[in-house]
Amino acid sequence: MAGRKTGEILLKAHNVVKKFGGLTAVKEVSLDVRAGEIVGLIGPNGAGKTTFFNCLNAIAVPTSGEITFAGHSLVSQISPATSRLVFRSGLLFALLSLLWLPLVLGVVWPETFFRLEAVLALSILALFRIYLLRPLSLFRPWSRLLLIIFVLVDGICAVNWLWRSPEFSEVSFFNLFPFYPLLVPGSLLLLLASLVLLLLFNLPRVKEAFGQHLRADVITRLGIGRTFQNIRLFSSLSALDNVKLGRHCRTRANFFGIVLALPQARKEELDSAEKAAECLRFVGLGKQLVSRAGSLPYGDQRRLEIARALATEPKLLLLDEPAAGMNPTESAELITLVRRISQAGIAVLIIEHDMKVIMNLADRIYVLDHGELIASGTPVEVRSNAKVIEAYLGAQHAASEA
Amino acid sequence: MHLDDRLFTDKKLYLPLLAAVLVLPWLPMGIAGPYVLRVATLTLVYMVLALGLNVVPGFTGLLDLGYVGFFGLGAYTAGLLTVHYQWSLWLVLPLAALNGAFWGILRGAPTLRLSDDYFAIVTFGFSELIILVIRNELWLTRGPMGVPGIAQPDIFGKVLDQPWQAFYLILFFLFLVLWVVVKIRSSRLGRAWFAVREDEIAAECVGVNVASYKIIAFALSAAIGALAGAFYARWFRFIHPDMFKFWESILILCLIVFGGMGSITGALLGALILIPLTELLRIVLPAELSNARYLLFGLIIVFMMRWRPAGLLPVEKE
Repeated sequence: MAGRKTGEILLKAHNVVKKFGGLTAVKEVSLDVRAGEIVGLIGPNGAGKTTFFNCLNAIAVPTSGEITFAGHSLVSQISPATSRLVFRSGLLFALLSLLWLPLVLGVVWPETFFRLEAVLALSILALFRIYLLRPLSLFRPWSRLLLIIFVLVDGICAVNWLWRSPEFSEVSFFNLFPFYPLLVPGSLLLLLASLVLLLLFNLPRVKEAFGQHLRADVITRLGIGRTFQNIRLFSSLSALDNVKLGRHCRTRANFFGIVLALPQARKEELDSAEKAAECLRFVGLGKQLVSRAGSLPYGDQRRLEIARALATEPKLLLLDEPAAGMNPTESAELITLVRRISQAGIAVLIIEHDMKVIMNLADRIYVLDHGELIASGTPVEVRSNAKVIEAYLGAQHAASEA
Repeated sequence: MHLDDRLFTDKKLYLPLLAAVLVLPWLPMGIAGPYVLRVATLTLVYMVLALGLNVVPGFTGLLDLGYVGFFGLGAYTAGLLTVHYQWSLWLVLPLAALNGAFWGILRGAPTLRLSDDYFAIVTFGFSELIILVIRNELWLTRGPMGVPGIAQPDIFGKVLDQPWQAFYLILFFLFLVLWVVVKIRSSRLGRAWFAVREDEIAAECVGVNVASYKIIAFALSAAIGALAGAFYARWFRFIHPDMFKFWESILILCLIVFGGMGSITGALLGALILIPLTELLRIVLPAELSNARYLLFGLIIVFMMRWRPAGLLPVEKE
């Protein structure tokens, strides 16, 4: 390991699977990256390397598997179909609750609903609401608690209605106001209070229970920066603006701060310009601040993309074929650049076809073929691995080599 | 440096412009005076509209074919509130803008995942929906009878009944909107919009929450449109569903295409050239040919596309 000091595990992918319809692009790949490490990911074309990268920062959602980064789980452990079901029933629930609240209040159509039919309607709605909440109980105990609370509240409301309906038989819409205090049953307060309490005290647990798929922008904020195989710059913006966009996730000025030119927003803007320029100098583009990103030479575009990713202050940088299309001088420069990034304490996971670059840089290498992990280890180990030679050169060649 | 960056910083640029606009009502133009001032006021209204529309297709790159919906929404919100409650302009205007923003968000939320043509079709449909509601809900909007007798703008209880006062008033609102869009353009928020326009996936990967930034753009754009509509209702004193036809959306879109999509000064210049031009043609052409002015209009756009496809003041420098 060349005596490199490496820290605790930063990124851990476990059995990541990504299917596109019938095609399995990534098959149960497990991989980990430690802080400060440079890890290579290689494999023949179409091996699923880029798809795996996309899974890591939520551009693609893995079909199954676990990905943890710096203590955060990036992938939900619940299947998308289930979470969709839960989401939909939640939505329906909310809509029905909107219908249900006026019924409980009896404010909107009191003369119609202060009757037995109202109690019936209410009960049916309540039952349906409970039915909708059912999928929730799949998750964690708290949701069962929620369910119990709703049953209780709906029950109390129904009884309350039944009990009080004779009181209001003479009430009409226009002389309703004195009755308002009576009409708001204590149970409604109970409902609101319970919801507020649930949200206040259970938010982290709610999130955990749903095991949310983190969005790409959230993952960037957590500290995974990336570049793309086919360069994705904001090509009509200047190089500086591109990198300033990298600062986006580290700044927080909002609409009002910007429009009112509040000191904090202005300071932040200057700050991000400064940091962006610093990043550009770091990759050696200090002189190209105002050039249009799309009109930069190819090699500079690659470096600009790295600068943009660095501006997000990543803990882990994903580089997708950074040396593609570079001449030997440029790739030598790239090697030094990646070394410097690594020395700055940023872990690097790098996909690369240029063997010279990858063997030179990587502390460890993972090899993918047809979506499967076929080998891993130090560059020396990987180079002499029969399976790797087979994947790259074909079985026959591998045999003659051995 | 693009002209947009210099709008509020380069004194050589904005002082002469401001002076020229401020003296306009006082130029001796004899009998043509009131008419010129009317056209100038209308031009400023369209400038506000162009700036507002520019936020969505120009900044976030989503084609909006239904901007007139928000213009009409603002006009009717302000008109009806004024007629029923006689509220001050300074209460009605923010309410109209808020109402615009609300419907802008409502339109935006379900269309977040739509791209290009699909989004354009939804915007078109939504705008037609607004106008249809205005036309048919007699109890609310009086439908095809229009809303007459809307009070003129006022300030501190004083009615602004002189044409030059209305001119200065819309100039003030134009300045306000201009300030907002110029500030945003060079800020974190504006850059996030540009990123969404250029490449949504890359935008996500630098930490831009694409959905919420689109929503902000929709809200702001709709609010500005409604603001212009609200002023228009109070200034014109009469509103009618026919004033908010689909053609108006295309006209406003033409202004920013003409000036250069995404360019603030371009939007202003587009309005400055095309709106007086349509008025001029209305005078020059014989009455039976007056609708032929749209023909010339189309020709201008065709030639623009041929010779300066990026508009008069394009954002991108080659």
